[in-house]
Amino acid sequence: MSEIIEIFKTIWHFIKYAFNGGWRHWVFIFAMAGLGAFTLGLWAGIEAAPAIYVQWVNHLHFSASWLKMLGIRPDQGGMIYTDMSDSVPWGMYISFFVFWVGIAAAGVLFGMAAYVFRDKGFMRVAPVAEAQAIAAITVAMLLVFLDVGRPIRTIELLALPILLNFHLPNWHSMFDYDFIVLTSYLIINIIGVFLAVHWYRRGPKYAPPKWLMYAFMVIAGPLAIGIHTVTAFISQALTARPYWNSPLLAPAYVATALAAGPALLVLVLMIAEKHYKGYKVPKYVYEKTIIAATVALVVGLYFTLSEAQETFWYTTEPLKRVQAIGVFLSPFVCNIMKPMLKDYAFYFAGHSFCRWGLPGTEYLAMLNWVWIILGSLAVLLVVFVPPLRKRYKGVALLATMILLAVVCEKTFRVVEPAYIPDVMGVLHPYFPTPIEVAVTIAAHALGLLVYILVARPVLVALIRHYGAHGEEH
Amino acid sequence: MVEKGGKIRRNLLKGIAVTGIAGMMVLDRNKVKDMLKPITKEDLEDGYIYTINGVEYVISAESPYKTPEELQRLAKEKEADAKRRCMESAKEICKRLGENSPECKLAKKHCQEIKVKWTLARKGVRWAMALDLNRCIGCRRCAYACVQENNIDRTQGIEWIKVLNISREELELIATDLKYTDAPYKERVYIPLACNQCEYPPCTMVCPVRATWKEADGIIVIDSYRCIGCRYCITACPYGARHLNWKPVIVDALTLNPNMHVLGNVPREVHTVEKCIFCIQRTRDGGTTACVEICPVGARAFGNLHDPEGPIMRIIEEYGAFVLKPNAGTKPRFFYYFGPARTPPKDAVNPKSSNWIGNPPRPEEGAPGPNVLPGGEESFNEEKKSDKGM
Repeated sequence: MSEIIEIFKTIWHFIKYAFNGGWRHWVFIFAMAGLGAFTLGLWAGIEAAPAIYVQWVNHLHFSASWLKMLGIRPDQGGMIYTDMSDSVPWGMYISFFVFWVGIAAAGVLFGMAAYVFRDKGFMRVAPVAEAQAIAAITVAMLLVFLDVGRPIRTIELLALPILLNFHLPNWHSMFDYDFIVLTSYLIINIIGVFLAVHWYRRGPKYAPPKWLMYAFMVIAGPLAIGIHTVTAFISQALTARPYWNSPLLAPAYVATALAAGPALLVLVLMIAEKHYKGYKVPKYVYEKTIIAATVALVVGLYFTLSEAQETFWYTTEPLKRVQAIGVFLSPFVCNIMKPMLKDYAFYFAGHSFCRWGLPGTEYLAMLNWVWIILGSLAVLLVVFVPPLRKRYKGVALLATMILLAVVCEKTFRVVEPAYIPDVMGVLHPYFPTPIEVAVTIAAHALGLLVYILVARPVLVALIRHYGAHGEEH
Repeated sequence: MVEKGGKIRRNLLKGIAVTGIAGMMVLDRNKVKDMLKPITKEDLEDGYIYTINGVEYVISAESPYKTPEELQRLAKEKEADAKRRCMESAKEICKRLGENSPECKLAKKHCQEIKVKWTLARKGVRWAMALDLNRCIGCRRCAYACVQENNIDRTQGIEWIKVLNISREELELIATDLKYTDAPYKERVYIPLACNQCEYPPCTMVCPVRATWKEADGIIVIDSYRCIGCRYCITACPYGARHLNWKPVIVDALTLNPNMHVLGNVPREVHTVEKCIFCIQRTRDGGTTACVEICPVGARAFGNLHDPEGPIMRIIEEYGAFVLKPNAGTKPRFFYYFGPARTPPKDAVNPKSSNWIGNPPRPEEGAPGPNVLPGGEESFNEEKKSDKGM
């Protein structure tokens, strides 16, 4: 009986401390909610308007009058307002979806260190990492929901059958499995955060049972790797897209995910330490995290090297070569690459060979080289300048560098080159339109909102458990 | 230590023995035999067979609509929707041009004539197409006829048939020119390309909601009422055969083709995918496709692949055929071949003429022909000209 009361108390703890903050907290909440609502309104009123109208009025037989009052009409709008086309059917939304799935996967790395290896410092960090995973999965799933053409139908035909009676609409489709693992990972992380807060909020003497957290990690660990692996499986087995069609894609996704997730968490923990007086993170946690992220970054860079060798050295597959030109070609390597690729590069880029990538998509090659150079620089700094990773400012610098490098690598660079040029050799340069950028920002704003609302009760519980001044440490 | 190891081994053996005995008790011998029987190709392709008026029809096992009744219901639903959309368009036309205008009457007639059929696939049929690349002149009339036949939205520039203009010395698809304005030339080959109706289609495998599937007669269809517009199938298709309606689909009552099939040319919805369906509304009723019908040089042949006397098998036997991107492993049912006679290409001296169609007008001796450009051969070769200019 008392346990049930305690559960209700935990729920109340979440509600209370999510909203119990100063004026700055409320400004942040309103800003994020307002930004999200405004840009989602743009999405509903322009990009998805005809689809929403057709589904609600023609198929679900709702009244059309109030939809028309909101400005949603059957004959205007559509995804034509994005720069996606039959040549490039996946754009900015899916690119950032891939990135945020990676961020989510890294949350469990800290859970491993904390609950499996019983590291005292990482115990203080793990629940925040799970909160980050919840926020990241929210952003990722929201982006897919905004990306599909018929969002309401997606819920009817895909989400509800899977969630209610675990019936896969098409058991061949990786999309279905991705939905399953993402949803499970979201639920598992909500449970994890709840368990941690349920005990920690009661004071220093209460901690979740070891076996329970161990069991939690046994389920969450494989799922964390699984979400990103299955996300890579969506694209890596497609024969039509030689740029993706390699078994290296899934490991490369996971490697860079394990670099970016911890880097983001380090930045968030620094902000939390600054604004929550009682919350202390031991210094060695930062150093260890940066080192772990660097190891993952080295693996990711190594995979990029392997990819470059594979696409340039012996490959005679034309489409792969052209797509690789779009990613790797830059003025400072063009003389090395010239003899290997001149035929197809000339065909698509003309005789002005020493350029960034393919015409219209120069940004892909630039992002790729930013990733390679910034990532290598971060690795060199971590390895050869130890004082940097021992100081707060140095850690912040390194984490920012790693995060930026992975943002460059795992957004547009992993998705778009597979479509440019497309399977029939049509070069349709893709560049996100303002509405795409706005909708992506909306998803991120709502993700930040979820992050702050979940992280605050977690931090309060952690402060209560570990004491206001970290005396246990 | 030794004793302990022995104990473990004994326990393992016991466990195996108990599992074996339990298995033998639980499992039926015949069932095990059935399980071990290899799966044949026919087992995999099996569908639901229905006999209607003495003819055997098959509904594919992959289809989400398992019975004719379900398909019929869907057809009724789609027919009502198509009629409603058509009438909206007709009303607009009548408002603009007056109730008594011939356009208004024609539009209304089209709307009344709309019939959405749900003809099933006949048993033992596998539709296929063969195309003679030596005959094809790249005129793109097939793409145009296809747009008209299949009620493709005219406002988006979607064409199910693309004609690839490729160098004759190497059939490398990525070095293709889709936006050519002049054809045919002797050093080019023109490859009309639509859905290949593959035997192992990657697009149906990836669909998360089974909105697209392979019918029993091999046509890959899309149900526009199930498609969620995720574009995964566009990503998976190696031939670029699939197109999304990126904006609201405009139904024009004047140009509407009222002969419709529930899984074919019934007007699609916004944000759903569409593709070539071998004119399912014609071919299942014994007709041929619109592109075959319109082709001015008779380059296309359409028929049943399983029929040894049919055109497809005879072409394959006689000339040998190839498919595009065989390394994609999709086993296309759209065959290309280089036939015995080539349609004469355009004369390089006289590029703007269309003399090859009929008897060329013979110019008088010494005088230039009516269509010859002032520059003669040099004006045709642009590269040469620019060199000279420099």
